[in-house]
This record gives sequence, structure tokens and C-alpha cells, in this order.
Amino acid sequence: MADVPLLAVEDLVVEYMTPSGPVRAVDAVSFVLARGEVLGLVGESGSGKSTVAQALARILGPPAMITAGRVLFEGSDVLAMHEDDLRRFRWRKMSFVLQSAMNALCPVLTIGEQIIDVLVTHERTSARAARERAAHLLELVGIDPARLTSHPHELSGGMRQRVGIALALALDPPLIVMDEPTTALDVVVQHEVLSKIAELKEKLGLSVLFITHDMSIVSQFATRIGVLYAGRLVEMAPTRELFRAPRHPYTKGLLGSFVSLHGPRRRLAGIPGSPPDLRRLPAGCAFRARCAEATARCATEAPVLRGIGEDHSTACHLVSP
Amino acid sequence: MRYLLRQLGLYILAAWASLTLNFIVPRLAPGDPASAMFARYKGQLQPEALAALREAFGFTGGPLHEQYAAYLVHLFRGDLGVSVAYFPAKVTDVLAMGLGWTALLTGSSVVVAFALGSLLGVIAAWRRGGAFDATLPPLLVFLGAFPYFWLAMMLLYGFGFTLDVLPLRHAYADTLAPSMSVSFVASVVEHLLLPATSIVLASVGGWMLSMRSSMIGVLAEDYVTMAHAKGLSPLRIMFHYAARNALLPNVTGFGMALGFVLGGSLLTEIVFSYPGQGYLLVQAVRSQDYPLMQGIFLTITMAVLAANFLVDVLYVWLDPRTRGR
Repeated sequence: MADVPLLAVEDLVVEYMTPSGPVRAVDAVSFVLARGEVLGLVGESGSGKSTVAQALARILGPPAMITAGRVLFEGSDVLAMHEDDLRRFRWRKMSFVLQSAMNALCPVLTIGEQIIDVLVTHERTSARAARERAAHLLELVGIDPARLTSHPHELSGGMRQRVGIALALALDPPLIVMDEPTTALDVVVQHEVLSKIAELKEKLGLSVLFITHDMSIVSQFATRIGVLYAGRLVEMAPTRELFRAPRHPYTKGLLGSFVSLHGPRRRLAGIPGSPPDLRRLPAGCAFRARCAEATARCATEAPVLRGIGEDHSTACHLVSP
Repeated sequence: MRYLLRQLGLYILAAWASLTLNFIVPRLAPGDPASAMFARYKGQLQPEALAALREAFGFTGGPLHEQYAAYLVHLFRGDLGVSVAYFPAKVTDVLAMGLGWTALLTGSSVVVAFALGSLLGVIAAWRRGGAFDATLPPLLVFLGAFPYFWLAMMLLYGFGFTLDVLPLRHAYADTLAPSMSVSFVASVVEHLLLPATSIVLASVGGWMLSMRSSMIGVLAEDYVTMAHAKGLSPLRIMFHYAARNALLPNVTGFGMALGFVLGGSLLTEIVFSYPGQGYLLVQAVRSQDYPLMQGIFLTITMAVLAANFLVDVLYVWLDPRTRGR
């Protein structure tokens, strides 16, 4: 079992059923996440990052539907699980830190109730033991355990997000999916939350799928990074390698559009145009219209993800192996 | 707690304002009820009796502020004057006859309709697009869209007359004297069934629809997605995470409905000959019984205010965000 990866996603397809027909939000995405690894998934809004994340535990609500692919967790297919097995799998094996610190916690329940119900549901612990564990979890993320009886609206945004992290750690799951865990926070609080995640990652040896649109944040954490564009993975490489030698024009554009505090001064370059409409994807490469180097081949043939170096793959006709 | 006290203060102010209006409005009308009554008796009443009546109704002819003071004093003593229609019974005694029955009939139907409608709304939203959701809401809205008196009369005709399984009229069997005996309570329930069902049928669709729509909004919230991700049981997600939040906007409507309970359901009480407030109000208007009308309006106003306060208390209990404000 040693060579079975923690998580292997194979040709995942998620479609949104709209009145005018299905829209592919995630198109044949495959990746592997090893134990102890932090895999970053980056892309613009609408690129399908969050959809991938929610598909992993099948928490996507209608109109989204997983129409093809496999999600192998420790070798067993999550997409084939029965309702009961799925409920046991959720949170025990894979927990989530969701995007909006404001809305991920139920406003009418106390922090304690929301941590304890997960403990009681999955571990059948006594209420007292669950309360002690919940208090311990809050301490772990630097929040006074007296806050267990507080409601979400009584906490600041940063505290709420740390409660979200404590909640994700509750069952000590092998994998935590963090979907834009710092997006709704201001920069100072963002830093506070990120350093808490970094500290816990070191201390507990977590495996994390880290989803963000922010290249500078992902570079601090991820061991490898996957770049999503219009629902497809366009490049995947170890973080260092990706920053040193990006190969896909979109990745190059992303890396050119944020400010680095280190290194030489350079001109900030954006990516011209905007992401394509998923309802009317052009034939060929989805990035073609925004790509300065597009050729005739890009208009007719969709590039597939292929290896171009050690642990480095990209989906672009312009890159020769 | 401070929030509730402040609200209570506001309601006391509103109560005072409505009491004052209740005092002023009849005095803006020409004539006075005592003269009206005197005229009705076509000279058979002695002038002394007229003076006594005026005294009883508070139209003493003194300066307004004295009348106002007398009015307030009488009110706090629980003295609302003497009814004209039921002369010489006191208004408070007349009110007491109808109030209990109205509270029982309208109160129980509003509570049942709200609870049932909300529950059905929660289930319909949870299984959105399913067979339950596709059939029940249109059916209940269809029922609610009938003219209410027609629906009530059909029920009365069907169950009371044709099938003859439920009583046709009144609040309890004429052969029984009010007591706490089993047979009397059974008779009250039996008589309550038909009118209460008619009110529930007519209003449950509205409650269901509003609960369904607020529930659908809540189901799209991140905390519900999060609850699914936590692997909680569907029932727990449905009630603890979704329904409790979806209930909040509907509690206000419930409070409003509860407030108008004491006004009685005029049509129900007429169709089923139920001895409640609505029936009394009709009597009062027919015989220009100002003191009784005043008394009825007063109870309605107070009930609306009390219900609003109850909603505030309920809100504090249901929604932690209103606490500590």
C-alpha cells in the first residue's frame, strides 16, 4: 500500500446543468497528491478550482454534476461510495477550510456546538470529552477556549477563519482542502492566518490541497503547483521549478502579474483579455485568444497535458519536450 | 436583555398612544352613544337613566382632560363601561365570553398552520424538484386561493351535513355545561375540528411557500455546504443548520398573524356559528355598541403589541445576533 498515493484524481469532469445545456467547469483534470505534500491549485476566478475541491468530497450541490472520472482516496473511489460510507469518509478523511470566513460557520450555533457535533457524529465520544477536545483545538489555533460558547458574529474575521482551521483539524484527517482560506481577510490578518497554517503544517505534518488565485501565497506553502485554466490543468510542476521556468504562456502571465518584494525590479505585466465563456469554448486551445504566440495549430487542436521534464508537465503546443 | 427592555419600553409607549387614540376617535364623532341609545328606546328611558348612562360611558360633559383622566383610571381598574347591545352587562364580561373561544380557535389554527406549513416548506425545499415539491405547494396554494367562506361552507356541508361526522355549529354541545370533564373537553375538540381545519387549509399554503423560498436561499449558504462536508446526518443539517436560519424571516409574519388572533376570524365564526370575538364585533357594529367596539379594538391592539413583543423574545432566542445589542 506504500505506493498508493493519498489522493489520485483521474480525468475528473464536472458539468453544470443549465437550461441551455451542460457547461463543463472541470474538464478531464488529473493529479496526484502524496502524503505530507502541499499541492497548490491556482487559477483565475471561474477556472474551476473550487469546483474541483468540492467534487473531491462530493459536496457540490445541483446544478453541478460529476459526470466522469475517479477520485481515489487511499485507493478507494470516493465517487463510487454509497451515501453512508460517504458520510463516514467526509471530514474523517478529508476536511475543508472554506473561502469565506464570514459564511462558513452557521450563525445560529455556537463555535463549540459546531466543533462538537462533528466529534460526536464521527467518534461517538461523550459530550464532555468532545468539549475538552474542542477546547484543545481552539488553543491549537490560538483562540481562548472560553470562546466555545461564542457565536460566529462575536468573532473577528481572522478569528473565524482560525476557528475554521480548528474545525478542519478536529478529526485529525489525512487531508485538508483549503479553498482560498485567506481571501476575505485583510492583509495583516491574512498573514496571521497563513503563519498559523504554516506552523500547524510543520507541527502536525499535514497534507494539504491549497486552492488560491494568489501566486505569492501559494509560493510560501506549496511543494507543487497545478495551474488551472478554463477547467483544465495547463501546467503542473514543483513550486521552485514553476517559478524558475514556467512553460505555459498562461503561467508566465500569472507570474508576471504579481509584485515580488525580492529580486530585481521589473515591469508588472498583466494578461490581456479575460477568461473565455465556458458555454462557448473555442475549438483548440482555450487560452488561444489571449496568447501572443498562438499559431494555426492552436486554433484547431486542443493541447493535452504531457510531461516535459522531471515532474513537470504542461498542455501547450509551443513547448517542445 | 437591554435590547428587550428597550423594546418593552417602546411597546408601552405604543400602547399608551393607542389607548389615547381609542379615547379621542369616538369623541370626534357627532353625538354620543348614550344619546343614541336614548333615542333607540324612543322616550321610554327616564332622563335620569340617560345621565347614568353617560356617566357609565365616561361622556361626563366635563373638560376633555378630566374625561381623559377618568377614562385612564377606569381602564386600569379593568372597567371598560357597559355594553349597549348586551345592556346592562359590563363590556369586560361580554368580552370574556368571546375571548376564550377566539383564542382557542384562531390561536390553535394559526399555530398549527404555521408549524405544519413551515415543516412542509422545509421538506419541499430539501427535496426541491422532487415529487413532493412538485405536487404539494400548487395544491395548497390552490386550496388557499378559494374564497375562504366557500371553502368553509364546503367543509361544513361535506363533513357536518352530508357525512354528519362533525357538529354543525357552536363551540360545544348544547346538552353539556362548561366544566373540565372529559366529555366536555371532547365536545370542545370535536366542535373545534371543522372551523380550525378550514383556517389551516386556507393559510398553510402561504406559510409553506414562504418557508420553502427562504429555505432554498439558506441551502445555498456556505455553512450548509460545510455541514455536508462535515459528514453530518441529513436530518441534523436540515433542521439545525438550514431550517433554524430559514425560520427567522418567517417568525415576523407569525407574530403578525398571532397578533390578529384576538380579532377573531369573522367569516369562520359566522359560518360555523362559533361564539368568538368576530361574532361579537358584528353584534357591536350592528347595534352601534361603542363601548363594546372600543373594548374589542383595545384587546386587538394589546394583542398585536403583545405578539410583537413575543416575536422579539423569540428572535432573541432564535437568532444570537440580536443578543447583547
